[in-house]
Amino acid sequence: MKNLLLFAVLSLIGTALQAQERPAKYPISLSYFSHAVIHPGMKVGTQVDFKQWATEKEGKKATFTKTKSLFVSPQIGFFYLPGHRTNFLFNAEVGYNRWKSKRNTFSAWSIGLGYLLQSQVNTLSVNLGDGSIGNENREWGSYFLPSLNYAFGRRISRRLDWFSKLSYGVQLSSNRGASSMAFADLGIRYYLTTNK
Amino acid sequence: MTRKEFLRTLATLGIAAPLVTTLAASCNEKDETLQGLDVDYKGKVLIIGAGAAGMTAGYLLNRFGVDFQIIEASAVFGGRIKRLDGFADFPIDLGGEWIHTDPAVLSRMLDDSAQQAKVDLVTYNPQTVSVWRNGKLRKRNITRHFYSEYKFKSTTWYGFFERFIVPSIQDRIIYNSPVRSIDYSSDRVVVKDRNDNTYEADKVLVTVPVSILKNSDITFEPALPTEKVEALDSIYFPPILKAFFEFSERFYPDLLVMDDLLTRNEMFYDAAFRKEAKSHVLGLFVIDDPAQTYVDLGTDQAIIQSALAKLDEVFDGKASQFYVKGAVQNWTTEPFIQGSYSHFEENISNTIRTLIEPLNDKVYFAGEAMNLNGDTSTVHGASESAYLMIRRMLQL
Repeated sequence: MKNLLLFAVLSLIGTALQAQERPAKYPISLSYFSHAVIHPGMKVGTQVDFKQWATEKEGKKATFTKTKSLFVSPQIGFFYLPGHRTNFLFNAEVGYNRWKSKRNTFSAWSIGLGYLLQSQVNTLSVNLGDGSIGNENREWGSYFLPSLNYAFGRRISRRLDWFSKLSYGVQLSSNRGASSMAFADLGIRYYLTTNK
Repeated sequence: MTRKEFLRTLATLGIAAPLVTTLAASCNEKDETLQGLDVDYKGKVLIIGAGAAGMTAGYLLNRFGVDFQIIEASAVFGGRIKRLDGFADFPIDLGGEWIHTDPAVLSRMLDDSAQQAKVDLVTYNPQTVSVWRNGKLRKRNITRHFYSEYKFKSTTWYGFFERFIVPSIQDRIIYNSPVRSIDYSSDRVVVKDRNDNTYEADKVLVTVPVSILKNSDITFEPALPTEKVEALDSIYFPPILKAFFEFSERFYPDLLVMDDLLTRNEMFYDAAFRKEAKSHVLGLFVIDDPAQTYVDLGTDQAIIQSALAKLDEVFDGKASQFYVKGAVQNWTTEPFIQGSYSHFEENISNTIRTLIEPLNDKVYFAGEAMNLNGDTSTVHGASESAYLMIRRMLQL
């Protein structure tokens, strides 16, 4: 058992060290996605760099690379409040990403424009015999959702990152007025290819 | 915790109601059903008060074949649930209005698996929310993402009781009999009303508002224990008032909060929200200090004019322009209510434990303030307290 743990730790360190060499490409992200913490959901997405450049910085012992990129990131997500609302979000972000090889971390600022499709329970009926809920009458609404986002994360292997992301958006509605929305993501990114 | 702090906390929790509702759905159920139990109680029970707790208690005693009577101070059943018919194209709740928990509570209140009926509800989560503060109207639509409760779609709390509870107890209610004394010093409990009628029973269930007990409108012989009096004194029972206004056109948001979104002591709300009504009816819910300001105006007409003047200030005179008619329910001046509902300022569970402690195993207490399961200050909580106390009274 000890050997197995040692092997696992060394493997992780090894892949982390390898990962410092250069960032990978074509990530698929999967995250726990929640609106205001209490409305849980999931989100999947990807990220395509359309411009990338690197700068080198001399350290005390070695030279480190900072890789910067401009990217576009399409995402699909949902979040819901049981018995009340279900929301589907189609979102696209354009942003600036900075990857530090020294710490194997990255951070990104982005702005997004989302299309939020919301299904809301307006009326329902309660069976007084067993308490079951039925005849849910749902109203569908659609909204634009511009957002400002900040993400940070860390590479944990050649193909895998964890990341966290905070987003602030404004739900735009022609007949109900605008309202603020805040989101949080916590997830992983898996890279389909690595740069070799 | 001061009263203000408590109200603020309560309101904050109210904002988080959807989460609480979801989580509570699984743990808010009564311990177990009371259906099918054999009750071998041969004594007589007097229930004082035909509000939600009193009616529910009668409903259960009727089920168990126990001899009982309900003594009601006013001319109608309902207590703090009351209906206004004919004002608009939907019935209006003049008292308890919202369902503050999982809607399945309606089934648990009846505890009758043979019941086939269904009740339509609306999800009450105002979409357009504004706050009027310091002379400015500010949109607070973010509230719509967090605040959500339920309301009856085409009936009221009063209508719910009228249809499902009252038929089994209506012959047992004695109206216009405000109780003035309860003597539990001998084997039988002797109850006297202000009309000098005397009633005797083996057990009595007191379900009157806390205000009636706090103000000693009912005297007890022997007197209430000191700890119970202190527990009653620790409960804040603020003034409250509701009013409804019909307008020829709609000019208001789903919810307009005056001054403070967290405490929500004074709010105007679209009473027809999702009710498929054509009437434009705005409700006013005002509690605590702002309510007292209205109450001090004295007459319903003065209260309506004051509210319209506030709305005119917010909406540039549109309230007076589109005003059709108004109605006021002043719960503070109702002689057998005298306020709103209980606000606990100290240790809630200890206070409730003290309040519900029976007197000599003969006099029991139930009501919105007496629900040890937690949902105080609500209609369903009052009903649940009756379940708990009948279970205890009959040792089920």
